Formats: sequence, C-alpha cells, structure tokens
Amino acid sequence: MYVEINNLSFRYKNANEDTINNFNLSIEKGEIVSIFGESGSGKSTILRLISGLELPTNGSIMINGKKMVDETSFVMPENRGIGMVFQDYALFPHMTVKENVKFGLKNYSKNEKLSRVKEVLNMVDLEEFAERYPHELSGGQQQRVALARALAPNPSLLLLDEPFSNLDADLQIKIRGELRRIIKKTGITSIFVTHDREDSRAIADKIVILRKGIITKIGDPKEVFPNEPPVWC
Amino acid sequence: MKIIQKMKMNFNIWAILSFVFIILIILPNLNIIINLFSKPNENWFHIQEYLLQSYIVNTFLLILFTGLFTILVGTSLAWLISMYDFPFKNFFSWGLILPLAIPPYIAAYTYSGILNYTGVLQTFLRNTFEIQVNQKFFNIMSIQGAIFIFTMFLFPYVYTITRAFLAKQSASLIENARILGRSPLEIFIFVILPLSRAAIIGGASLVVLEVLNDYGVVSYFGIPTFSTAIFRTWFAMGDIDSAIKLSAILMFIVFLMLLVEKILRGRRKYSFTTSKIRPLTPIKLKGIKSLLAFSYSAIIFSLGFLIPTLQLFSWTLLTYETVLTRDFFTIIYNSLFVALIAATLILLAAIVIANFNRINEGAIAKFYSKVTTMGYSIPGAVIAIGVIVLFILLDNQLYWLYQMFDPEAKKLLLSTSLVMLIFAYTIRFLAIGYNSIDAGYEKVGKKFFEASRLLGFNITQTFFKVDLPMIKPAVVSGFILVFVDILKELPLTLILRPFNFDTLATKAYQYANDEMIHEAAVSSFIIILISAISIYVFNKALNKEAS
Ligand SMILES: Nc1ncnc2c1ncn2[C@@H]1O[C@H](COP(=O)(O)OP(=O)(O)OP(=O)(O)O)[C@@H](O)[C@H]1O
Ligand SMILES: [Mg+2]
Repeated sequence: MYVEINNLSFRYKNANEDTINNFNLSIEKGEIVSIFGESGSGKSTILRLISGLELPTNGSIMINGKKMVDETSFVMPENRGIGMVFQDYALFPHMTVKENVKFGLKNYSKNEKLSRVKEVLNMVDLEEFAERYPHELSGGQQQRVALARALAPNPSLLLLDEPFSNLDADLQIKIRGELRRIIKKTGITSIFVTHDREDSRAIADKIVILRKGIITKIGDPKEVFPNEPPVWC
Repeated sequence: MKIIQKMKMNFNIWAILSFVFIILIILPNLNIIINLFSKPNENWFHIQEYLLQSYIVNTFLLILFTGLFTILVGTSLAWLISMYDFPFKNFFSWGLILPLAIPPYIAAYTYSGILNYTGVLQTFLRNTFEIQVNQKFFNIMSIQGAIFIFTMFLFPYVYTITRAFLAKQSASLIENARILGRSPLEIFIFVILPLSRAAIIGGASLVVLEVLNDYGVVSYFGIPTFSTAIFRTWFAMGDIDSAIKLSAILMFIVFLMLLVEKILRGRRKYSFTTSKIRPLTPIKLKGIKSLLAFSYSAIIFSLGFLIPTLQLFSWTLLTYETVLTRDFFTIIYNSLFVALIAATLILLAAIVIANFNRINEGAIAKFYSKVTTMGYSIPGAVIAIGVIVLFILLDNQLYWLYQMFDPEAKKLLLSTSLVMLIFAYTIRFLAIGYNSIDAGYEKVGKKFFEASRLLGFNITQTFFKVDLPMIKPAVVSGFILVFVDILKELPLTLILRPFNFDTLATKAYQYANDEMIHEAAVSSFIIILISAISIYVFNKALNKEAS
C-alpha cells in the first residue's frame, strides 16, 4: 500500500480523552480518500498527524515505503513532502499569488521555477491573477491558489482540509468537479476532509466515516452511503 | 521513548538560545535570593535597628498614596474622555498620555525649580504683588511632594489602560444604568469602577512598580527609601552584603505587591465577555458642565506636561550656549549608542524566546514567559546589585583567561565595562520587547508558520521568510518602546555605567544634584522631546489600527 496508517492515537495536551483513537487506514497510489465526519470529530487532527504538525501518542505512519513516524522515529514536517490545503487557505498575505506558489519550489532553478509556476497556475486557471495579493482575490480564487501552492512542489501526498467550507453552494458544486479533475490529472494520492456528504460522494474513491476520533465505517461511496441517488458533478 | 522523541523534535537553535537567555536572566536574581540567608554583618544590625523602619514606612506611604491618587486621577479622566464630549476632548484623549514622556526625576527637579525662592512663581508673586510666601507651603522636597510628582507623571498608566477598557466595554451596560435613572456619578461609582476593577488595578500596579523602581525623585527630595538605601550602603559604605539584603527585602515587597494585585484583580482579566461590542456614544456636555470637564482635563494636562515642559524649554534657552559643548555631544552619542545596542539585543532575545514559546506551547513556555516578564517588576537598584555581584564573580573566575591574552590585564574587566550596563538593561526591559513581539505573533497566529513548514522550510527558514516579515510592525514598535525607556532610565545607569560614561539621563541628574537646575534642562528637554514624539507616533498608529 502507498499510505499505511496503523493504530494511530492522539490526545491534545489539555484534553482528557483521546482525540484520535486507534485509527487505521491504507491508501493505494493515486486514490482519493475522503474523511467524513461532523465538526469536532477529529478530521483536521488526522491531517495534522499525517503531515507531522503533531506527534501521535501511539501508532505509525508510512508513506511510499518511508517511515514517517513510529515509536522511535519522527520525520519533520518540512521533510515529509506532503502538500496541504488548509481549512482557511493560509496564503501568505505579504506575497503575491505567484510568490505564494513559487514559495515551496526550493530546489528548482530559476527557469524551472518560472515554468512550474506557470504550469500550475494554468492548471487552476489563474494565470492572469499571478501578480495579485491574496486579499485581492475572491474566496474561490484563493482556494485555487492554495491548491496550486500545495501541488507545485509535486508532493507525494496531498491533504485537503474542508476545501469548500468557505465557498457558497453554487461555487462549491462547480469547484468540486474541477478539483477531482485536477487531482486525477496529476495522479496524486489525496486525502480530503469534509463534513459534507455530497462532497465526499462526488470526489472520493474511498470514504472513511469518523466519529469522535474513531472510524465507524470505511469503503467505497456505494458501500458507505447505500440507497442514495448518484451525485451530479 | 516518547520523551526522547519529543526532545529530538524540539531540539534546535531556538530552544538552545532561549534556554541560555533564561538562565542569564535568572542568575543575577538568584544571587540576591540566595544571599538573603547569608550571615549578616555589623553594619546590617545597625541598619536593621535604626533605619529599616523608616525605609519600610516611607516606601509604603509612597506606594499607597501614589496608588490611590493615580487611580483617582486616572479613572476619572478615563471616564470623562470615554463618556462625554467637550471642547478639545480629542486632543486631551492622547495629550493626557504625554506626562509619561517626562521621567519623574526630571519633573521633580523642574517643579522644585519652579517653586523655590528664586523660581518663577515666587519671583512673580514678589515682584507683582509684593507677596512673601511662607516657604513651608512651597517646599516640594517632602514625601507629599514626591507623591504629587509620582501622581502627576505616572497616572497615565491607569488612564490609558482604563480608557482602553471602557472603549471596548459593551455600551449597553452603561446605557441600561442610565435608563434606570442613575446619575452619571452613581454610574461611575457603582458601574464603572467595579466593572473596570481589573483594568484599574493593572494600571495602578504598573504605577506602584515604577515608584518602587524610582531612585531619582526620592534621592533628590532626600527621602530615605529602599532604592536610596541600597545606593548608599553600596557606594558610601561599600557594604555589598547589606545592599544585597536590602535588595532582597525590596524584592520581597515587589512579590507581595504582585500577589496583592492578583488578589484585588480577582478572577477577572481585562477580557470582554460579550461578543457584540458597540462603542459608547459620548454624551455632549453643555454650559458649566462642559467648562468643568474641560478645566479639569486642562489643569491635569498643564501640571503633568505643559508647565514643566515650558519651564524646561525656557531654561534650555537660557543655558544651551554654555551646555552644548563638544562633551555634550559625546553624551548624546553615548545615550543613543547604548540605547541602540541594548534595544537591538533585547529585541533579538525577545524574538527568540517568543518564537520558541509559541512553537512549544506548554509548561516550559509558560515558565519562560514568566521569567522574561519578571524583570520589569524588579526595581533597578535590585537588578543593579544582582548584576554587579554576578559580574565580579565572573571576573574572578575569568582572570586567568584575561592574563593569557594580556599578562598585565586588570582583574575587573567585565564589571567595569559597558557589557554590564547593557546586560542589566536587557533584564529590566526584556519584558517590554517580549510583550510587543508576543502580541505580534498572537495576531499572526500559527497557520502561516505551519503552511511554510509543509512547503519544505524548517523553523529557522520559516522565521526569516514568513514570520519576520509578518511581525515587522511589532518588532518596530517594540524597538521604539525599549529604546525610549532606556534613554530615560536612571538608577541602573547611575550604578552600572563605566567610569566617566555619561548619558543624557545621568547628566541631567548630576546637574540637578549640583544645584545647576537650569543646566540640567537641555538634556532633560531632549529626553522629553524624543519620548513625546514616540508617544504621539504610537497613539496615531494605534488609532489607525483600531479604525
Ligand atoms: N489545539 C487544540 N488543543 C486542544 N484540543 C483541540 C485542539 N485542536 C482541536 N482540539 C479538539 O480536538 C477535537 C477534534 O478537533 P478537530 O479540529 O480535529 O475537529 P474537526 O473534525 O476538524 O472539526 P471541524 O469540522 O469543525 O473542523 C475537538 O474536540 C477539538 O475541540
Ligand atoms: Mg477541521
């Protein structure tokens, strides 16, 4: 398996019960997995654990055969090669769109940087906004910049935390189709988190239902949500 | 296993540097606390028997009455400015902060110059009305005089904090009370005072700490307190053991005060519970009431800023030709140089510790932030003694090293250098830099930091590429605040400066002490000008941010 998460448990410093409890998940290369759960169920926390922003109390994570964390070892977040689209995008306000996207291209030459920025901005259809600052963009545009920024360094795994939560309903439907298209085109393995059942069904190859830090169901959309009409996207 | 893993995760340059800074801050203070229990000498018994009581009584009188009067003046003005509209209100709203630009020791000798026999007031009364006044009533060199000086020049601490609190208070509470038929005075006493208790106590405790820190006012007025006693036992009697003992007692009083503050403040912080904050709409005052409000503000403003500044200005005009020699430019250079170096170091330390603390939230971070902010509560004289003892110890330990480089090296190298003074400034003013940086980080939050980490940059790279550009305003404002405070600082500079090293503050103090009040005006005026400008700039930046 491309991603192997075993017996993952975690508790925030000031919490008195486990935020994540014995979480297991394997993902195949190129698969899009959705973690679905209500607010406070621990979805963001799982992404923080996978990306290395938090240290689990228990369990291990392997990505592409490399050990990210287990009982004894820990790879720093900057060395994991994971891309993340944050819940509120976290675009650097003091940098333009172009600079934001270029930011993660560390070991590229100047020319490579330019062409890569162009490429991903083209992919999210934002080339003409390259010189703008984040606050000069609409919510949907900001969301696409965040996606472009995360994709630019060719991460081995892409994490998306409620990518549509700041968008209105119409835009959400339009963008989620686009998102699936972009992700599938790059062939990147992705985990995306949502509390919207339709989002899950529209994008994911596999759905994990999370409740209070515990997996209650796992499987492909038809297994997890049977008896529902197909979503249009 | 987990602990080792965590240590590995958190072991980096930021952790090491923070640890070193914290140890450096703790060491001199530890010295004092440990020495509290050392065996007392002859001199100490003398001090204990004949002098200690007056130090304690005077110190308590000063903090008690200054505390009360600053609360009275500060809250009443905050209330007037927040609740009412009257002529020049907008000007007073920031003008009433300006007394902070005048260090109390400068105010002390300025007022004494205004009020004495040859001063402008008595001369005027004599020449115009042929009135000979009873000198007793015009003698400011007393404990009452010191309380007056402290009140007039420290009340802005209470005023600013309370005003900021009232500005953010939900208006409905006060408006409700109004509708219930309460008079404004009743509202002030029964609603405003209890409501803003935490803010008022917070401001007053800053005032008390400043009074405990003061050396200039009490020594000029000849009031025996702990600061003056520490100076005298150290300089005049050369008795460092007793100086340490006095420092320890003073430190104990400071901790007592902080405890009292905590109790008085109760569980309430400055925070505001309601989510919807609607600012108060000020009531327009008319007629006699408007005149009263204006006069009250104007009188306080005149006493606390206008009169002493004008007086200093006129003395400056009298003496600048004789004072502005080449030596004087060396003094200006010294002041700016040492303030610049110290402020830079302080900001560096503040940035390192604040960055470490926000990345590693938890017990260590809490402890670090406590230690970092503690320095501001410890009076200058105490820090000075702690630092001297530490540096003499260091010199003794390092003497072999000095000799290796230069066989004729003197033994007291560090303890006679500027390093000692700058080190002491750092301990005392780190809190100001730290609070500023910390607020900056708080505002930015952690998400940009995390985004940068996930894009492949480590903590240090992230700091330079993402954090620093975003907290730049906080760095600049912290720097200015610290710089101005160092420029005004007196007790530390007096004790710890190298031989023949004068700053604007020490020069002003010396002139005044040598009965050359007019000559003291030039350096004082420069200090006030720089402070006043920084207050003005800050207030502007703050207002811009608020709107
Ligand atoms: N820094 C923290 N310290 C303590 N507890 C936290 C912290 N962050 C989150 N929690 C708690 O952990 C639990 C899971 O939080 P998490 O953010 O993972 O939820 P979520 O599923 O992403 O919710 P949402 O859909 O609202 O984003 C919640 O109960 C939350 O209160
Ligand atoms: Mg979340």
